Amino acid sequence: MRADHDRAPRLLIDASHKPWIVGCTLAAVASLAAYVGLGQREPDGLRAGSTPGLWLGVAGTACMVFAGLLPAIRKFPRRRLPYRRWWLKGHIWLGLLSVVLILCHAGFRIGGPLEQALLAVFGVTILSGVLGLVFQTFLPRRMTVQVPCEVPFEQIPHACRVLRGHADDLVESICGPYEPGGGQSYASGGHAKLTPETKARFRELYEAEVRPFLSDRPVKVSRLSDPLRSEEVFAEMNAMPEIAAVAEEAAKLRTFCTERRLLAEQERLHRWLHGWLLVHVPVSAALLGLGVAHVWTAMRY
Amino acid sequence: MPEPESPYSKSLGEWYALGWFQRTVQRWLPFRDHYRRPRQPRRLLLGLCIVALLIGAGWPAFAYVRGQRRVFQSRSVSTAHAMFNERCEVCHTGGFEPALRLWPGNATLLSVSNTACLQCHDGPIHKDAADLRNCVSCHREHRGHETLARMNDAHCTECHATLRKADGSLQAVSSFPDAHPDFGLIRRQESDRAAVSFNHAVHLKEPGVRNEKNETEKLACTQCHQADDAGRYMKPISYAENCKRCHELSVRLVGVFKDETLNGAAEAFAAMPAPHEPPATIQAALRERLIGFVHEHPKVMNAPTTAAPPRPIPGWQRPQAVSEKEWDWTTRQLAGMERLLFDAAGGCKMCHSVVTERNADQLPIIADTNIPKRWLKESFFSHRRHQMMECTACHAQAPTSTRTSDVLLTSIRTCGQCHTPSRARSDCVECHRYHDWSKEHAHPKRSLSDILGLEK
Repeated sequence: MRADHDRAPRLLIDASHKPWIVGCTLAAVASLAAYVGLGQREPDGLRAGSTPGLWLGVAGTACMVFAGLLPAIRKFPRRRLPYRRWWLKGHIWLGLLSVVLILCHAGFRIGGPLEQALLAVFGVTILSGVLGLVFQTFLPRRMTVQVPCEVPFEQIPHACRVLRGHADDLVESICGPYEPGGGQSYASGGHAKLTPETKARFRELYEAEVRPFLSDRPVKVSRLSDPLRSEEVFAEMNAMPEIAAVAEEAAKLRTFCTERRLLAEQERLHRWLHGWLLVHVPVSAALLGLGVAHVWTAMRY
Repeated sequence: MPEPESPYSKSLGEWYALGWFQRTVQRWLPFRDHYRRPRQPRRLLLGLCIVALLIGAGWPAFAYVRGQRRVFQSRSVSTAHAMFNERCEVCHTGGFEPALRLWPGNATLLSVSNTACLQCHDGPIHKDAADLRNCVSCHREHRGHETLARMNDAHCTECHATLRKADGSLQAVSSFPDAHPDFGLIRRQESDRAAVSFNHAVHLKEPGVRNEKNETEKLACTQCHQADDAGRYMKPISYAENCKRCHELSVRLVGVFKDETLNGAAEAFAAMPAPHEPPATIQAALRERLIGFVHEHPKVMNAPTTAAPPRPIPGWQRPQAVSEKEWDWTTRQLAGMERLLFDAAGGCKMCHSVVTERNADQLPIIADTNIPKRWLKESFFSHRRHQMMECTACHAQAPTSTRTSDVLLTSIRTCGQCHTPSRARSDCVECHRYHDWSKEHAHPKRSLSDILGLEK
């Protein structure tokens, strides 16, 4: 049990986030209370340009700047900045707190063109960040459960090529050496107990279905990519005459296909796991540009 | 080396068999071996970031360079200031005040100073206030095409919620209609102090009143009460416009005129009423007409008369052109007319109050009518905007009012039936103005090019 517990994937949001959650919730409640309380003292409610409104904007901007420094912090070697995990927590919770602060600063109004663009980009940044947080929280666990043969993502193409190499060797031991150009003779090479016709059909099935699927860029429309439909392929294989003589090799081939399918699933999950960054990071950059323009005009006028 | 728990044969032996150099040092080398591919599409990500940053910063910068200031405004300025929509510096005469406001002690620093507003406007002080408040504390700009004078009630109730005078002339107001006192003259049960006699009930009774053609005519309120050109208040009632048609100051010659020509001339004289002027003017006008009549019709002097003996006006010099006989006739006729106009109940006294009765030495002194031109001077009202309502909706007492002293004004509760937050507007500025425009100063006029910023 202990060993299982140690191997259990750790959730991104765990008990160590509690101080951040409590602190940011309190700060959000305080800013909302300040917005309501100070707004009642102002005839037109709290405005972004009033002194309390400006301070709310400054606080929201500070939270966003803190969150935005995460990529820069990651560039530093770990031993220089041992609090990178602390900063990541701050990135999450101060980023969410900034939503409340900015909405209070804006008085829950959308403002003019610049502010509308700013709020839209800010909203996309926050939503993509929350989506990323959800992905980062749940997908690694799902990947561990669904892909027991998980390999480093960078090595998946190489692993596929290795798989296909092993499969090629296996098929060569069954059918004899492959002769490109179709001039292959199955009479002499390969497994002795198999007839040339069986070898030819085996080779044909392998070349048409299995080998393309095992490549590092598999064909998308393949029966082997679906666990149920892949049984059709192997049922076809098992129906060949005297195939029982090479049952162990055929089972290995099936294992290679299963592993390739799991690697494809790992790739798919990996893209979800990191693909949200293609939205989150660029809109954060746009937010930076728009934010600078907004701060300058707000301070100027 | 396969994972021990995995049921699948691991195919990564070659990767695991890589040396320390390939697995660690080579990660930092600029070239990549065939074992590696980027975990994330970093180049795509970097490209997207650069594009997004350029768009995010470039769009505002481009708009600023092009002078498109509306991009930076939370909302456009009011319609009255639309010409300055792209010229922030007209109102924002300083610079970086919002930033300076964050510094301790600068909380009251304004982005737009009173000086900027007073370039074009005068802002008379409010009632007994010592000085002018900050213009922008009430007049909020950048709220779209709203009227700047249309502001939140809280600006008023900030003071008026607790402001009251001991004599009751000023009472606390916190909202309308629930927490607004009734009109002062209703509260104090004041009466109309106009020095005329008028009976609304008689004029509005069914089936009507006798008109100048001796026909029955049903009068409507609007036959006498007409709104001014702006449609706000009722024009003052005037004799010529509103009363003369039925209440002519008819005078006729006293005598028996058997001559047909003379009788016709006397009828023509009677058809022309006396002017509605002060008594001395009436007297002078009638005398002139009588002298003219007697010059034209000398035979009238021979007509038998029952008029009272002439009484000359002391100290008054007769015109030389009038013979004594003519003068005597004129004076006799005039005396009869004066009695009719100045002494009889159907003359001036029918409507006017007489300060001093006519006696042998002087004409009567008629009191100034003192009809209020406008009630409720602390607020304003538009009759035109309420023209869909019948008059009695607000002036319900009018058809039954018999005395001039009746104030035919409704209670403010009537206003509150429609003017509530959920119906017609009920904010303070709907009826009241902050600035006392009677204290407005003459403002130097500016040239068009100066206003448009064309002069350097």
